[in-house]
Amino acid sequence: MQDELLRYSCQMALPDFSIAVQQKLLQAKVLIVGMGGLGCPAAQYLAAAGIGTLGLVDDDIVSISNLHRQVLYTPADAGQKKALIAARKLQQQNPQISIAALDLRLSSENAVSLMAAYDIIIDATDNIETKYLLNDACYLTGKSLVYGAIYQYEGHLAVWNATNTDGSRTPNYRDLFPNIDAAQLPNCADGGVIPTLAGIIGCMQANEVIKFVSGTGELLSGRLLILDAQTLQSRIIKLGIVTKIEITELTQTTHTSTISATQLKKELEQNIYHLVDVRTVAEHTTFNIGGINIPLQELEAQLTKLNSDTTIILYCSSGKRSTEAVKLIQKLAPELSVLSLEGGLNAWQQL
Amino acid sequence: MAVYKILAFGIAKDIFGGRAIEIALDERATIENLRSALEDKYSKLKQLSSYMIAVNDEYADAANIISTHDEIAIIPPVSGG
Repeated sequence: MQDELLRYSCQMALPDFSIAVQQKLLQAKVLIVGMGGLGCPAAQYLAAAGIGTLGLVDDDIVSISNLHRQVLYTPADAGQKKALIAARKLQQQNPQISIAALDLRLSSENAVSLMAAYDIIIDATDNIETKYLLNDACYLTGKSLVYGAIYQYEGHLAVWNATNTDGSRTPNYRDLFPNIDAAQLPNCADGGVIPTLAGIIGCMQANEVIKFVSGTGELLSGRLLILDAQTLQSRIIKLGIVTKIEITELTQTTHTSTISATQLKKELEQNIYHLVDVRTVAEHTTFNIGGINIPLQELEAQLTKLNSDTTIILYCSSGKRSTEAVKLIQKLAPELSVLSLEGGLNAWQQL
Repeated sequence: MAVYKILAFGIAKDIFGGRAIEIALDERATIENLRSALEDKYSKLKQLSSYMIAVNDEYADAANIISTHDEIAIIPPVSGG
């Protein structure tokens, strides 16, 4: 056996596998969007299994609260770019493959061109807007999307937009959820998440990619797997064979106005801003940088607490909830001047 | 009237205050009837805008008729990663 194939000998020994199948893996190009709780394990297993090209998209930095589930990173990586750290560690794990660190945020402007060079896409993102963007871009470019999502003890997995034998496409995210109000959904920081579930669902995403590339097994298309980590009860919901949705264009990414942690720290003493912490009451009580506390999910009801006299800075732990908050305010009260603290308190604490 | 048992997933568990609830509707109610009855009772469910209803582990359309023997699940999106 050729030396470079030696590390794959135990998978090539599988029924349905062979040197030819391993060559398919080595020629495959997989784009992983989001290098967090799902992206880390998915990337580790795909790198180990010899997927020839991995693209890693993430513009976020490592923060300490990520470490319990984002298993590629260590405390020494805090404040560093996830895409760069992950690429370096995965390259050590498998020097035979090619890894592209894409330190950027997916948007309606770059999604289609980014995806063009890849055979299949993994949705390992943590927000609804990017999930829709990936879904729609995959629909428009005819690529299959391996979807994963987690919340508390519940994990979801599916393959969207796979090709049926007659050329039609299997259901996608919008068949299930045409139009979600993201501000109404708690995220991992609000509701918590069991770290092992991220590992399980991330591994399952890698498993779907291996099946897709190797042409073995049965893809989880037209179906949604729901796994309860507390009981280990899983169910597969049948969604149908063909999508009923027609997508004609990408929703334009809304770019919210932000302020950097450095600038805010410099200008905070001038008292020119009105600060609003959109995290939970418990998080606010533990640590805050001042201002009032209106949790994101209560923002709509408490909008009257905000006034248009001064610029309002919304902050949370990572910048994610405050971005949602800015979008909500821009929609409901466009007269208010609002900015989101970029990178949230994670960035603030790195200063 | 008939009493239907509804299983909750994700954020629906918080909205309903438990893993399962019961709701009384007409016999041969549709998914659409169920949806509006639940949204009347739980306004937060309506605010989600999109959530899936599955009957016996299969996606259910608005016009599907449900029976009290069915296993009916409310499945909102989850967004963590």
